[in-house]
Amino acid sequence: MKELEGPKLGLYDRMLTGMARTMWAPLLVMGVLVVIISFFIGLSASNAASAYFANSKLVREAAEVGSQIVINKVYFETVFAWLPTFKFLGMALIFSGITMLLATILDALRRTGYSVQKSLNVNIVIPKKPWTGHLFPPVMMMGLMVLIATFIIGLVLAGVTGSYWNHVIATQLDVAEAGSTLLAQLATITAIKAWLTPLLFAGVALLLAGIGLALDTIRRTLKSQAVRLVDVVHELRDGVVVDHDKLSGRRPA
Amino acid sequence: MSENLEAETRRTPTAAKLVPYFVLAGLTVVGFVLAYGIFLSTVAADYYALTKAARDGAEAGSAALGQLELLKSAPAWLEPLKFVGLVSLLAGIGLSLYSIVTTLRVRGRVMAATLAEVLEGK
Repeated sequence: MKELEGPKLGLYDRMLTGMARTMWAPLLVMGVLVVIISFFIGLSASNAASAYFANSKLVREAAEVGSQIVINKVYFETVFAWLPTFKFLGMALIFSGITMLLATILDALRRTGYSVQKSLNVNIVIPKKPWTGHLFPPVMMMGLMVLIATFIIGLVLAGVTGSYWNHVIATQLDVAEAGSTLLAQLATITAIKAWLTPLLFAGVALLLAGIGLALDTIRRTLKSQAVRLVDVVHELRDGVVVDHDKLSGRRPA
Repeated sequence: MSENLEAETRRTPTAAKLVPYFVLAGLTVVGFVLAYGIFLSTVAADYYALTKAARDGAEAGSAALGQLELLKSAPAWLEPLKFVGLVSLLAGIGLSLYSIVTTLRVRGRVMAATLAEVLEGK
């Protein structure tokens, strides 16, 4: 289907619109794939956890480095460190795809408004972009950047976690001295986890705020088009008619 | 086309006026949870810097037990508060969608009232 003609846009708006039109589908698909992959990785980690806890506490805490018990422990602890951030990255991609789809809807509404006014031979009035329209792309990008950053932090945390748990619990971890590397790693792991989860939710909150702002922009655009239609009727009653083809030097179709 | 309909076209639905407040409330709540999480991380860093023997042997009224108390009790209200923030944002999205429905209905009435006149004029 041939696309409707639209108003000339600035470079920034052209870039945003182009990006939204090409990226919404790949982002949605990638997001869904990431979440599905997370589920299967979680399943494999749960098998490792199950195998680990099948042993008695004494056996688990005395297991030597390099034994299957310690390998299982290191595996599921590292996966549980980065997997939540990976899941939230998937959600970020999905919400970003939804926001870009809403931006595509806005572009379609803008083109429709322009084309309808042109076909009616009236003054073409493009309403000023509302503040919500200026705000939703950067808010969405901030949310996506936050969740990409948390995924990278999750990977770093997984490295520290793996290094910490790759020791004998009874003779190394439980007797670690104050100021030792092991205790510093434990403090780092628990401290990062304390602010990482709220940061994940802050990223999701920014993406949801972006979606809310995009929807409000759609509502404002629909309202301004209804108002314009009322104004068009007044213009036609007053006999104001604009020949756009004559203005542009083109022959009418 | 009636004057009432023209006035209604230019009016902003009440639901739309509430959207920014819900979005702001949601972001504020989640921001507070993040700030509290950063505070908790300093408490956790201090607590887990102690040896296991020191942590397990901490006496009633000691700073270590106070830290443990905070670390174990805070998630019980912090977790639901995160979701309160998200729910506020989702409520804002719901109100936005509802106001789109209202606007589309008004737009439909405007189109029904004006298109015949516009096409006649053409």
